[in-house]
Amino acid sequence: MNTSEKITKAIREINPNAMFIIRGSSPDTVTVDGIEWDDGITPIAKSDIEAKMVEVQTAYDAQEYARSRKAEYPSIGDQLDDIYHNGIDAWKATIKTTKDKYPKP
Amino acid sequence: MAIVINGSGTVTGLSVGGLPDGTVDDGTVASGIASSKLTGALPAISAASLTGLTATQMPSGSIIQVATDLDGDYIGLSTNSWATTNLSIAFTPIKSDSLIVVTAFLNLYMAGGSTQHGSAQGQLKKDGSDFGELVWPWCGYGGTEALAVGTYPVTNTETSGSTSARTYSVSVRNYETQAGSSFNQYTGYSALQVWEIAQ
Repeated sequence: MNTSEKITKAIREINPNAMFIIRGSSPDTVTVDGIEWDDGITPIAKSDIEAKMVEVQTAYDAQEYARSRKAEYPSIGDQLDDIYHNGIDAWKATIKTTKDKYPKP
Repeated sequence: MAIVINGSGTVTGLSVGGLPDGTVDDGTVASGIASSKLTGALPAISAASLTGLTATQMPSGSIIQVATDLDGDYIGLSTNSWATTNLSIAFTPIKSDSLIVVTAFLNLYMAGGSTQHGSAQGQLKKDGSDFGELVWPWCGYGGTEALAVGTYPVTNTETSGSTSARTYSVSVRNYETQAGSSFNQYTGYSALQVWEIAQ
């Protein structure tokens, strides 16, 4: 998640209907100072956005294990094939390997 | 034939090729030579010698003027209002009947996911007014996460109409409402080009 996405998520959580753009030199170096609100949109205080960004980052980090597991699980097709040929217990063992590799905090 | 110098100021009796090379210089050649005297197979002329040609004299199909602007800045798009990019060219056509070709190449990152499409729209503007727009691919929806990342073109043409200055520029926006597309980004490294072609 780059900084631009983090700012966007933070604003969306405060006001889902906010309309804005974020200007900067790159998605990783933008700051809340680069936010331009659409006409008619009440600007959100920068301090509120920055505080929400911390929450967004914490929530994102807390899902790191889930993203890692998802990336490593076999495809649904391969899993079904595994069940068909080797049975449920063998499939569960395969899945458990990934779950153990990336434990839930 | 004998060469005769007459008292009237004329010389007769000269054959074609009868004068040595270099005898007639540009100060001796009459001005306003009829074009009919220049027809037929002309000798090859070095392009380096055609220094007097101007853009307005170029034949149909010739590119007579090109302008380019580059933009490396970034805009995160969370609105379906048009966001002005830094791409802008002030352009003055050389001829009033030229073909003007305006093309922008925009680098975009369009992310779609569970409840949102990835889709953005680019717009060419002429003196601040719509001069042509295009929607780029919709990607991802209904649980299918997908990215469309790359350079997307938008182009339009017109006849110059006059030699008055005008400004071509580019805007971008989410095609959907903000709730439908949260992570569409104009990632910079984009270009705007204006070509003037003689017709």
